[in-house]
Amino acid sequence: MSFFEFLQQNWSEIFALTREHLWLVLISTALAVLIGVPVGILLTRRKSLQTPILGIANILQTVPSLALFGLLIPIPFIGGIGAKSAIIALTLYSFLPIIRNTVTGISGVDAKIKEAATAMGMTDWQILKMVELPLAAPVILTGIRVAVVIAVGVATIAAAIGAGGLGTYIFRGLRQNDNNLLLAGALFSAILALIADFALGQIGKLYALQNVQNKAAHKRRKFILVGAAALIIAVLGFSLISNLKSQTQNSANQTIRVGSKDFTESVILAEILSQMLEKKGIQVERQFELGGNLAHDALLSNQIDVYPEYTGTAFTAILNHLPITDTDAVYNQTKSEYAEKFNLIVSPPLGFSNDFAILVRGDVARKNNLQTISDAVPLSKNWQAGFGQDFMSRPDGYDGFSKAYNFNFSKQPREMDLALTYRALQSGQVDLIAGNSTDGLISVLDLFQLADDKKYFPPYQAVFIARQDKDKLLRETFEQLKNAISTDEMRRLNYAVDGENIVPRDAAKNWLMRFQ
Amino acid sequence: MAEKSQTIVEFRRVNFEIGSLKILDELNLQINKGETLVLLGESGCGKTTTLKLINRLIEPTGGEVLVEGKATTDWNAIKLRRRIGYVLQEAGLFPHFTIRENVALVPNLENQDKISERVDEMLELVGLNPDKFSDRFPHELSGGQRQRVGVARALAANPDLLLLDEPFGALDAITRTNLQKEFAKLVRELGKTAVFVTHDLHEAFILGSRIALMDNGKFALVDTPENFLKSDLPLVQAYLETIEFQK
Repeated sequence: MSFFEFLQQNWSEIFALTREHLWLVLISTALAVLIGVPVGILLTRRKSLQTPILGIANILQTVPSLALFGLLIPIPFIGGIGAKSAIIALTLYSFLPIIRNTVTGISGVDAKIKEAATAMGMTDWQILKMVELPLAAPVILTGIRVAVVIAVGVATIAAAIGAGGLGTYIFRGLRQNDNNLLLAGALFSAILALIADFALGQIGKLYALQNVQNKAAHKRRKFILVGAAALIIAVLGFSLISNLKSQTQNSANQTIRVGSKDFTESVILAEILSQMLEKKGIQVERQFELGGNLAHDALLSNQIDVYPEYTGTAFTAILNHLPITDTDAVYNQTKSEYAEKFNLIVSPPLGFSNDFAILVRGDVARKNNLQTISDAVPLSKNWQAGFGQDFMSRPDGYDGFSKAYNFNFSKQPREMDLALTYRALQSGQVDLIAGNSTDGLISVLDLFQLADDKKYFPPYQAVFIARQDKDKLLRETFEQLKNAISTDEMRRLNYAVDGENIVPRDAAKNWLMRFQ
Repeated sequence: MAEKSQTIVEFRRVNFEIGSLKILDELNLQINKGETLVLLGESGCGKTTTLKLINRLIEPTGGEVLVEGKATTDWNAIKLRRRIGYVLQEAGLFPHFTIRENVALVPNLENQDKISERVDEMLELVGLNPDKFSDRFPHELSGGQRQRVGVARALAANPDLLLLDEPFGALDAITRTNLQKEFAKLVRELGKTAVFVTHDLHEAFILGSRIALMDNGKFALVDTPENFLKSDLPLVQAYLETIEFQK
């Protein structure tokens, strides 16, 4: 599919994501201005506070954005998944340029002019309002402009905590190896940044001294800008009202909030569950594509009601047990401990397992006649391995794996985004990765899965984890899905999305038609 | 008694220190209604500090400054400043205000009536055509014109007392001389009291009805220009030599 066709087909979604993106940026910038400018003014009055407060703002901005989003998830009231956390993180990022430029702008007003203002008998408030702020406005606006451009960029990462926006396309594109998605996400956020930069530049010119002094041009520019601002606010206001309406309708009925992790299979499973629930007349709120362990955190903090998980992951990464290989034991122990520790339900197994798959390029496997992981050990001395963050850190991951097989890589494995390891392997930048056995990309990219001959990896049966208070609404559906999806079927579903660019919603719909 | 009621500003044993640094040392001075007192001295002698004590831009660390019989620290600072005109070097005009808005500043703050007429009147008084200048911005005027606007702004709320901090210091010689003469005439005609800071003896002679010569935070001499010429103080002699030289 060409990029142009992609745009034609997905026009309304792109518009919706752009609107979400703009909304995140506007709200967070507005908050940052409402708080940051008064703080900046305070700092010009209490100079001793300048170093500590600017220091804090500085540190806030150096926190990596994904880490900041992650830190906000467990915080009650202000945190959680979704737009709220994203807006708070973006606001925190915007503080530094806004506060700093407010201080710089006001301190930069000519001392003679301030002296004259004081000597004329102006109060501190009058000096601020009539002299300092108008003269500092261009500098303050430059700070806001910098903040907005940063926010447009950082807001793409907000998609990792389910806040939506154009980052949704970028993450999805990386995962599904889809350049159209990547390009659309990147292109439209870049366009947004350029438009915002231009518009704020125009407002800045409005307040630049030489233009204040040219009344006619000032008026003309003001008229255009006020018109443009009114239009944007009208569009956003309208969409907000319609959002609120749909939300209030939702809460009136029985609603299930379905979450998913941030990879294709998890999204498809969540989509299948959602559509089955919707057929039963239950309202569904989708909170898909949550990164890392966010889905589990979101479940515990009552932000979602259910999400797909794997028994092995739950057993090792969440319950912190050492990996064991007995499938039934892992399932049963996970189920009883989840009930005990978290008050969470584990659904019956869905039928397939998504085990770790140690992958090499197909041509390498054929040439060296590789079948098992043990076969690859002698060759691997000069190989570059590449693993997702998850595999590097989890107890059943890299450490135990390399010991069990006696791997001795001369080079430190490269730690990168899981979706990117597939591309890196295909393009020859790494030689061995740990993927997922149901991954559709395995056959698309001509990769070969080495057999786990030492039975190192624990079983990863797919299940749903749900909150106990939703047991009634979910129980029947869980029973229907028991052993309903085979490994082959899951791989086909993944391939449909990753290889054939069918959206998860349609892939799930097709599968459900066959299923019923 | 008649003499007493004439006093508009009085310094009583005024000290001003920054940390351990003594800027002003036990100043005593009476400024009478209608006179133009010139504070003359080298940079750093304390003359601008003395001026700023009068409208409470700074407060004395010892003694008191009385304006109309009341210590500046007992005045509401805002009220006090609005009763006193202030002109400073480079005029200190607001660059984002038109000339009209600059001159109308204090009348506007005070919510006075007929401000527009008052602005026109003030501009004419300082020799600027209101029709031509009132809607311009300060950067469109010459240095001399800006200084005239500065004077108009100081006079707009009709204060009895004017404080001027080297207002003509940055102007070229011809413009400066013209403004000095016009200003001297204006103050006399309006019957204002003026305190004028300068380091230029020539200016002091043109404007001053009394000259207060400052040295190291003290008054070396406070007297009329005539008596100033007669003084045999070494510092006065040094000043007079500068004039001889100019001649």
